[in-house]
Amino acid sequence: MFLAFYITNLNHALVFQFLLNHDSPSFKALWAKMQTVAPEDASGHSWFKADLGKDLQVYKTKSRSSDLLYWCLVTRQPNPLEPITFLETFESTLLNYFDKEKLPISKLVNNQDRIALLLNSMVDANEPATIDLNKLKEIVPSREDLSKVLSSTASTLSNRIQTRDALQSKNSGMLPGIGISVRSTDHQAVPWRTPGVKHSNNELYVDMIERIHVVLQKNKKANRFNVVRAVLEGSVDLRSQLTGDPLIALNLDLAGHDLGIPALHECCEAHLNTQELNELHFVPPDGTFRLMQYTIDLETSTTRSKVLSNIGLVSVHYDTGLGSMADEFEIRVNVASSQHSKHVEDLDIFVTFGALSTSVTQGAAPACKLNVLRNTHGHFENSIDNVSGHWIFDKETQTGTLPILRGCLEHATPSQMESLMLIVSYSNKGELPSGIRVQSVNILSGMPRNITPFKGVKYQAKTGDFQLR
Amino acid sequence: MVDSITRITSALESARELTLEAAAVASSRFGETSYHRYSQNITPEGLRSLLNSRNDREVRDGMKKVASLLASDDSTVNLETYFADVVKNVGLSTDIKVKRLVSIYLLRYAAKQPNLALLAVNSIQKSLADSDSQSRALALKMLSDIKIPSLYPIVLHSVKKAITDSAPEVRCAVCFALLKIYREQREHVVEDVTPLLKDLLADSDVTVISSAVVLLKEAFPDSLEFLHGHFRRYCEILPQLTQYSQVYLIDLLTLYCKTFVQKPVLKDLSNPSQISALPDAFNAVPFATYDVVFDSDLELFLQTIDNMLHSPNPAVVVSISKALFELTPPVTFKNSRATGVLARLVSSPSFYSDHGIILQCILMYCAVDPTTFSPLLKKFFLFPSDDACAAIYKLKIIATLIDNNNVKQIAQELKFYISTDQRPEIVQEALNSLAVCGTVSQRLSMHISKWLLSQIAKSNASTSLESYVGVIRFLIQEYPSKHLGTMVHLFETLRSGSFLSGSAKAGIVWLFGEFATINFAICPDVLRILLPGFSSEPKETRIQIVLLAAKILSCDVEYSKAKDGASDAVYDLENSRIHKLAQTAFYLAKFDEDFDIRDCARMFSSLFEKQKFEVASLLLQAPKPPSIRCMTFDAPVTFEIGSMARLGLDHDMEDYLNPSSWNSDQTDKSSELRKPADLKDYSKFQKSFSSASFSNAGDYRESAQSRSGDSEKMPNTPSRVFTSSVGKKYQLQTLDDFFSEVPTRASKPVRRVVIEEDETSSEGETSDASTSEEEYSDDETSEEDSEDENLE
Repeated sequence: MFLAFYITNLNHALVFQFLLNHDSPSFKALWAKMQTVAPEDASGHSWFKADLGKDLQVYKTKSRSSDLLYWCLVTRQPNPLEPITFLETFESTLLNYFDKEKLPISKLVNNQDRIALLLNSMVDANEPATIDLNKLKEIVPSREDLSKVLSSTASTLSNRIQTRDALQSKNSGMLPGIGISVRSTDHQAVPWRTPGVKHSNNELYVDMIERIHVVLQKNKKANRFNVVRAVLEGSVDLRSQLTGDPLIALNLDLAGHDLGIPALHECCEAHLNTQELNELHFVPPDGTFRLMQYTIDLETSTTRSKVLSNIGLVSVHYDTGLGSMADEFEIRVNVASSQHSKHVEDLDIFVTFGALSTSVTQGAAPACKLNVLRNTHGHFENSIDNVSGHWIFDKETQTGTLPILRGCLEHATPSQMESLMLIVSYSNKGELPSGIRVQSVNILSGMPRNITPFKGVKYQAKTGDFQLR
Repeated sequence: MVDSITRITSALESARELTLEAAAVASSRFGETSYHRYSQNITPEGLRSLLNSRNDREVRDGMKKVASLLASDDSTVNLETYFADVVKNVGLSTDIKVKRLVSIYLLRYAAKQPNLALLAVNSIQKSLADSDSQSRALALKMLSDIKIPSLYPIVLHSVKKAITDSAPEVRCAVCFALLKIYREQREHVVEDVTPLLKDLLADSDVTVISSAVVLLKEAFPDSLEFLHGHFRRYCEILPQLTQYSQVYLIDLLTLYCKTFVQKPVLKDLSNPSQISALPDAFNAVPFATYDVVFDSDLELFLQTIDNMLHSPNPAVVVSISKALFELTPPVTFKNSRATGVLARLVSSPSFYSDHGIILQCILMYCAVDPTTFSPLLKKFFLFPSDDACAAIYKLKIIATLIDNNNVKQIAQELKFYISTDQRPEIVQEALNSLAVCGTVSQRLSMHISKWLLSQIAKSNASTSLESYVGVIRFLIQEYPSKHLGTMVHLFETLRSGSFLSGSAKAGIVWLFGEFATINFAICPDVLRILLPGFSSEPKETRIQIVLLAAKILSCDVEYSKAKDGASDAVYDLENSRIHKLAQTAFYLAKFDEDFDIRDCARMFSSLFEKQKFEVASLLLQAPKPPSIRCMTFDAPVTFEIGSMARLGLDHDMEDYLNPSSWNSDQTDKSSELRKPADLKDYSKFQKSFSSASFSNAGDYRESAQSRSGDSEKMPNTPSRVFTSSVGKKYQLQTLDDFFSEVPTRASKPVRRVVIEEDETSSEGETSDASTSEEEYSDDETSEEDSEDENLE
């Protein structure tokens, strides 16, 4: 049973509050109470729970995208996932409702009335009620302000240009969908779609994002990497602005991967067992939504080469114990060439010998110092502790290059040399590490015949935890 | 040509930029920020005049201001003083947004101003008969949100009326209104609420079921018998409910299955004549390999939830896994896809997520049956960005999964975490898991203790040293006889390591005391070397030295007795060097500044002086339990309070995961009770009349009568709708009321019938409806009278 909701910034200054009962405490009162009852505020955690009394609990989650904290006050309930998932749903609802990637505080402050209305519909009798975004949008219509009209005109204009470009160069592999029937607007085809939606510019964008999480351990004897963890975390996000109730078929080329049991949006009706993951049929909700979230498990694959070929464009090798004093090391980066992406962005390699920092400071051994002897690309920034630093590349690094960095750790013991750890981060567009691609997006039915929607696909690869040790 | 195109394109491009700029400028002038600034400048007096304005726009601005004051916890303005100004808008304004904002205000202040709030009730009731279904739903919500006891009969009455509303959102609001009333009145309204809940549970609309499930779960979680007739239909529509209702309903149906469905039957594969019901304890299945036969209804439920594993909501996945865990034998659970999905949920690093909770769930399953997740071991290796909470549970899971085949890999990983992680709680947990690794084989135990010793020597961070010592102690306790080398090493560390913290040293000294019973030879020397530095040791160490002295002496007494062979031989206190050593220790302790140490020394010295050696050995040589406990349950588990405590789960999660027991009452479980004949026809009930529908007819008739009786008092008969020209609703409402006048027919399902019916029949009924219009005209006048009364 929810009693109150609060949104604060990271310093616990109130941005928004919604009290569901006349005796729910205001945030000021709650915060004062929390200081006395549960002063231990684990700010490092992404979520946090505190018992305020026999029957009262506070849940706090940190926003994924913005600098906000979401709080709710609930009566004690056995399943901690419920309040947490509700707060997450609330956040994604806000993001989708305001159509933003990130919620600035001013946006929330300006729209306090709207957020209150949304919450008022999302929670009834202190329990979760309507959480379908389309219904919420019906109940609390979003404001079309002038800026939106202007920017949408501008984007239509640019779309026209792009569409023509696309048609000219024929590099988009999509067939324009042909609508065959117009449904009656009165009757709701699917619960997640408002009947009778009309858009002046019909668009459908597919964003595929994969995050690379790899932990590799160097086998000193065989001079190769053993895979400790290797997971690709991918998601298919759709942004649909389509008239009518279109039925869409999304054909994916899975590149031989087994996606297991991915999380699918309710519009896929996955429980009917009629869906094939490489050809999803669905009637999309209006606006932005996450169609599919999958993880590709590279750990189970038996061959190392298969893992290493699927962890993205950048691969890194290193050697230690080089040079006459055996205190030099070399990092070789291979930015593989690719047909689809010309460069990788924001490549940054964090080099550290500090993993065993406890032993570094101990005793009378002279302090180690990391020196870079030469590097082919980018520049190196030493950290303050002298045993780690960032090798920072230019904003864009061409694919098909082989940057090398050679450095030395002065006064290093052999065990320290072995503690070299690298953390790699970069992102690139145009290609996914797994090689999954969208083959086609077809609109099978449900659109007016005369409308040809604009369709676009974007691929993006990012690194999450990419560690070599 | 190409050139001209590019020129046009670039022109357009620049035009676009221009427009964007213009948009930015325009939005700054007309956008939200400027509105906010305007709104900031509304004075308290200005707010009152805005709220009282005749202009809709101004009222809306005023309400927005009120909403933002509510949301920003502004103490400068006392919103309670605006009560009348705000609440009167509920009747005056035609804008539903204003009404909704008023409802938010009422939620907060209605209970503080009951008399004024009652004034608003009349206008709210009027909108209960609005033609717009959203207004009706909102009116019901507002009415039930006003928590004033004298209002409950009216709310209850409106609810009974609205339950036959054609719009599902109104019926949803009915569910929530009932929940609110129930929470306030509890047992006083049970008789009113239960028949309505039965009707709601039988609703054909999925969204209504979603809300009804919330009501059932919150108000009557024990009345599982309500689900009898709906079990199969709910299994079908479960995936279409809202995510939260899915969670609730899965939990409820799990309980239902445990109460009213036959247990699955296990058949021994090696001996087909052996049949047994699923035992209560999870891993107490008597057969090595077996086949499972489920009750058909249970199978339907399991099939449904298995198909729902694609859910994007982790709470749903967790409750599915819980249902499978509780309802199926281990082999089915292990082979279900749920384990894979749970592992997927936690397989990526977890900075911003609830992995900690899902991991707790997995930990519980692992503790009961490690083989369930052992193929997925790698999923629980840490990522650098895992947060502490998730990391700790991952390490605990790893500890449960350790077996002979994977122990090498695990130990290597754990060592890496121990040597690199900066967070002491994770190092501690990794050390505990490493200790569990040591229990697998003696060789490994030696290897690990050696590695730990080298770590101690290397490191100077005193925080984790205690845990190192704790783990070494655990390992030595496991294989005490083989660890002489380790002990000697430890002593070296103790002697040279000035950096050890007091409690770490104390741990080592304690270990020697325990070791004395196993390998006595080196211990007196240890004591001898420790004694000269006694006064410079920290407090914890000093008390342990005193204890060590006592232990050694007690051991020596025993040995000498054993050597002599005679139990009555007298120990030669005077000539024993060990006795002298101990006396020295006690003597030193006598002058200690710490009370405990003095006390301890006094007690032991007097024990030995009076030659109470048996008491001493009882005190000092009692076997100590291992400090680190293995997490897996070896024996078949029946979950009791406390048996899960060693997993260190969150206490709420522990409650949630604690499985309920199968109902052992035989009469209740007979499938006859659970499957009455007419339940099978229940699916037909949605489309047409069936005998099943008549079970509720009595209740309905009652409510219908009371409604027609009350209609004089109540201002909201559907007569308004009659005059409007809204075709569909016109027919539906009229029909409802038309049938309610004919008590001989079961009128309840009529609403549904109409939805399904084709045009011709509804036309026929429209003509009937128009005749009933006259009957209502009387009501209308009386209703107006009552309105006047209310206004006074």
